[in-house]
Amino acid sequence: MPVTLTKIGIQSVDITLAESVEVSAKVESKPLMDQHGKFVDGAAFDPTSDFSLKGRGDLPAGLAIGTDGGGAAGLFTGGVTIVANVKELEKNDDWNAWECSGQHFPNAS
Amino acid sequence: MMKTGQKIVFVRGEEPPHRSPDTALVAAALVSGVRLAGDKPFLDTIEEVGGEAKRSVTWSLDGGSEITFRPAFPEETMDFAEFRRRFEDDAWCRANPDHPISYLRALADTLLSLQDQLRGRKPALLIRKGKRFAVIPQDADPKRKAEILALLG
Repeated sequence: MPVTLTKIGIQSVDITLAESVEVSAKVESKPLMDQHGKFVDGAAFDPTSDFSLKGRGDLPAGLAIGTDGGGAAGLFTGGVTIVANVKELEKNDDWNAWECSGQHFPNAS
Repeated sequence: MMKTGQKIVFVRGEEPPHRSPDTALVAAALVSGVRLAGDKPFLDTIEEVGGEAKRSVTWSLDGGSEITFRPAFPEETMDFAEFRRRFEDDAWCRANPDHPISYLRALADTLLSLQDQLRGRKPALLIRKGKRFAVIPQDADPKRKAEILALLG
C-alpha cells in the first residue's frame, strides 16, 4: 500500500450509557505428569478475554471503555479484539440501543 | 459502523492527545495504509479515580489492515533545495506515492491535522457505577445529561 494522502476527520463522540458490561478472562491449562502419571505441575497458556456489552448511545465509545478493564492497566491493551456479534437499533424516540460481544487475544498480532 | 467479525486493535494512553506519542503512531499508521475502526474511532475521557482526575485516550484501529512498503524508487542523493521542492509539491508526492519524501509529507500533514482537530477538544466525562458507566461530552445537552445520570443510578 503506497502512502495514503487523504485528510482524516475525527468525529465527536455522543452521550453513551453502558447498562451491562461483562468481561471474563480465561487461560488454557495443561497438566504436567511425571513418568508415573502423577500430576507434578501445570502450565497456563493462550490467555483470552470474553466480553459482552449492552447500552445506548455510541457503540464505539461503549466498546472502548467496556474493554478497558475498568481502567486497570493491561486488559485489552495490545493484541487483537474480535467483535463476534454486534446489534445496533436506531430509534426515533430514544437513543440508539446496541449490543456487542466478542473476544480479546492479547498475544495475537 | 461496527461490523460482526471486525478485528480491532486498541491504542490506549493517558496523555492529552494533541501532544501524545500515540497520536504520532496513529498518524504514521494511517498514512501507511492502516484504517480506523468504524466512524468514531477516537475517545478521550476524564474520570475521577481516588480523588484525582484520570485521562484516558483510546484509538480504535482496524486490525484487518495490512501495510506493504514497496521500495519502488532509486537510490539518490539530493540537497535540501530539491528535498524541499518535492516535499512542498502535492502533485509530485501523489505521482510518487512510494517515495520516502511522500511518506514524510503525508505524515507531517496528517499529524498536524490530527493535532489541530484534537487541540481544542475537551475530554468527555467518564462516570462508572459498578460495572455500568456513562460517557458524557462536556457540551452535552443538560437535560440529556441529567437523564443519563438518572439512568446510571
